[in-house]
Amino acid sequence: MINVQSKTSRIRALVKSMCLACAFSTVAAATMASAADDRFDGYEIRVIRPRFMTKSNRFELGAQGIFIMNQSFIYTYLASGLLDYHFSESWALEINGAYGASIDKQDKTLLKRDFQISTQILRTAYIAAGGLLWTPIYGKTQLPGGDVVYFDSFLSVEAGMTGISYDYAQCVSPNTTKPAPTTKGYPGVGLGFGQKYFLSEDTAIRWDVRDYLFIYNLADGSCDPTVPKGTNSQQNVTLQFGMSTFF
Amino acid sequence: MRQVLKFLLCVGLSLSMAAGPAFADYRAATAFYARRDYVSAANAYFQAFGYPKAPGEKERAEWGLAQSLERLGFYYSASKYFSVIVRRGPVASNIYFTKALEELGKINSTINLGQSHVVQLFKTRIDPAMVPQQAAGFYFYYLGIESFNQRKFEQAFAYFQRVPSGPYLIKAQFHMGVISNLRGAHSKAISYFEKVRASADKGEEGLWIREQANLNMARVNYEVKRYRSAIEYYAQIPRDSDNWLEALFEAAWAFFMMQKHNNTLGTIHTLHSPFFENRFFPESYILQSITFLRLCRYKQVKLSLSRFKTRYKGVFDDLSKIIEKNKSESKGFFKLVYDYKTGSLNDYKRAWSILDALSRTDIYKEAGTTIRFADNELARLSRYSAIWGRTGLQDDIGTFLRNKKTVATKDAGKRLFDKATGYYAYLKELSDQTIGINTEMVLGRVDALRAQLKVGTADKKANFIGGLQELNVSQDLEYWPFEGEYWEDELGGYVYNIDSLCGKGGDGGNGSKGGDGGNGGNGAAKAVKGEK
Repeated sequence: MINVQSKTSRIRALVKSMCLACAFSTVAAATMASAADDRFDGYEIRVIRPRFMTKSNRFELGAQGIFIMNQSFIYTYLASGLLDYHFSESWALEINGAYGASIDKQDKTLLKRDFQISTQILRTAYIAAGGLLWTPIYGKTQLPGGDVVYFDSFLSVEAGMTGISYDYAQCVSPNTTKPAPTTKGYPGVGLGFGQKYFLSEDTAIRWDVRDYLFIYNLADGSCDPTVPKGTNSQQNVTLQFGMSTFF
Repeated sequence: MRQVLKFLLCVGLSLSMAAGPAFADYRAATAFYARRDYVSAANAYFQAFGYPKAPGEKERAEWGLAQSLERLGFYYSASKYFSVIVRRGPVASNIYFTKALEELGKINSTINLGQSHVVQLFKTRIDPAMVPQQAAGFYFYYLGIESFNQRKFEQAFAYFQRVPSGPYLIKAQFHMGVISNLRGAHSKAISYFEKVRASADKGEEGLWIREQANLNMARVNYEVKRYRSAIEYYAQIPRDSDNWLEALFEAAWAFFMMQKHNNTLGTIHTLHSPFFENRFFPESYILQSITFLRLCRYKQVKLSLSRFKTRYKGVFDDLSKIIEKNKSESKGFFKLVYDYKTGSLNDYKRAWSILDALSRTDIYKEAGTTIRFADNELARLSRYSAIWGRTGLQDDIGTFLRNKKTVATKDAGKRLFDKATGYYAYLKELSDQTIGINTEMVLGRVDALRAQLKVGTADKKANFIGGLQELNVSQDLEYWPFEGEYWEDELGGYVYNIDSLCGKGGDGGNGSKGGDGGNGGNGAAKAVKGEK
């Protein structure tokens, strides 16, 4: 087959507020496809075909690797699992949970070694959240090799808990007793944006960028947690990448 | 005492000579064969075959040579010697006749021997009772094919019926389906094609025959005016098949007959995409124009006819040059198609769509396979030149393989040339039809012309989306507007969204106005379809 346009990478997206197929009802079926979606009435020629990827009434089970991007002194990596229920093509409920650990950056090591500065770090140990996913964009893109890949672009709103692990490494003064390491959970909300690239009708590559905001108690990380010190807010901006399967 | 010993020695030698193949070449050959040293065995058998030293040794050596070559994977070369045995017929002295026929049947189901080879093989008439069960499929199938090609359908059917279970049965059933349809037994034809579909394996040949069965079932349904079912079968031709566009084109006719004009035009839109500028579907412009005519869109009728002229005038001119130049050169004509296919042709660019169509025919593909296998054996032959070159075996096989290629090329070239002249006549006929439609429009006789477009009313309630698929109300659909840019994945999925202008004053062409017209009369459309 001759492919006259395979050299270009192109993208084509449809912004939709609702499932296109919802325009079809049993009653309306007799009016045929041409009347199905009036947004296309102005076009003399259209492609009408079964949707490549249907999510309605399907579960999505996925796994992702998470990297927190806005941390100056540590790298935090988490492994996460997610479960979504898509009750339409546009809307889904999601629960997810992530657990991981952090590694000190060289800057932190240098500060400690050369300047004897012990930084107080909020180390994220886990994130557990649940919320709503809205998928307003369904599109496709042609790769330079000529293959066409379908994708969804979605927004997410979630509420959940972020677990912070305290190791009290900054408590080195001889006058203080170093508290035992502990992990404390704080409620928060998350906003996100992401895309799914469908490899087949059952599998997708998925990436998300999310901003988790939570309020934490300042005293929890101090060397004397018994002294009240008020609260502060913290954001974790995450980059998440993984795969999903639909069933 | 010495004389007695001499006498005994002479007697011993005489007895051993009389007893059979006791001389060096044959004996050595069988020893090599037993040790699975087929290269040396073939060489020794060839020597024994050329210089037999005892009665019957030549035949035994010939059989051994063919077997050795077959074991080495020189199937065509082996077929040469097996064929010689078969052509001698089932006479008493030809003790390997049955086995050779069996072996040829096996080879032919592995690599196609080619029509001309098999026709030559069966020029020797054989008593069917003498044909061994293992070779019956091969034998009766090709007799059937020969009769089929001579249009002796009843005789062909009888031969196909005698094909037993095995690799030839499915092909025989396929031809029985075709013959049943020609007899007017449409249901029986469909039942044969169904059997073919059900028993075709998942290999390349199985896929091919399943696809052919689907196409034929679609055509039978079209013929009996079951357009909906026809479309269902056309839809089963996969996108990556050489037959996909043909299926789309024929389905467009089925849509036309069902008065699904938006589907007809949408399907044609795919055929006219730049992806397929080298594909040959001239009739699609005629179908497009008469569809617009039925919708009283006279400007678009004119546009379709004018596009036909623009696209095919050059094709017609270059095709006539090709035909003129290759009238007596069948080998050259094959090379022309081959050069197009391999991308080394720079001439006759305007007729490339014809060459493309020819390169997709089974004639070309079969010849291409023969050449490929022959070349493969020729290349492998050179590896054994040190051994086989000394005895002349290399020359013998080499000459046979080169001849085989020449015969295949000439035969295919001739058949392709005949097909090309058929395309020439077809184009001329279509061109005349465009003139006819234009003339009628200019003379304002559009109503009469539209009335001739006999279309069906059955299945009118069925609704179709793109991709020849019926609308399923519970299915989620996706829409992509066509804005002048073709996407490869959208091909085959287009549906037009235009209404009939009949009774609304038309669109200002020369045609007369009014009336939805047209379910009666003789079908111009059907006539056009019949030309294909």
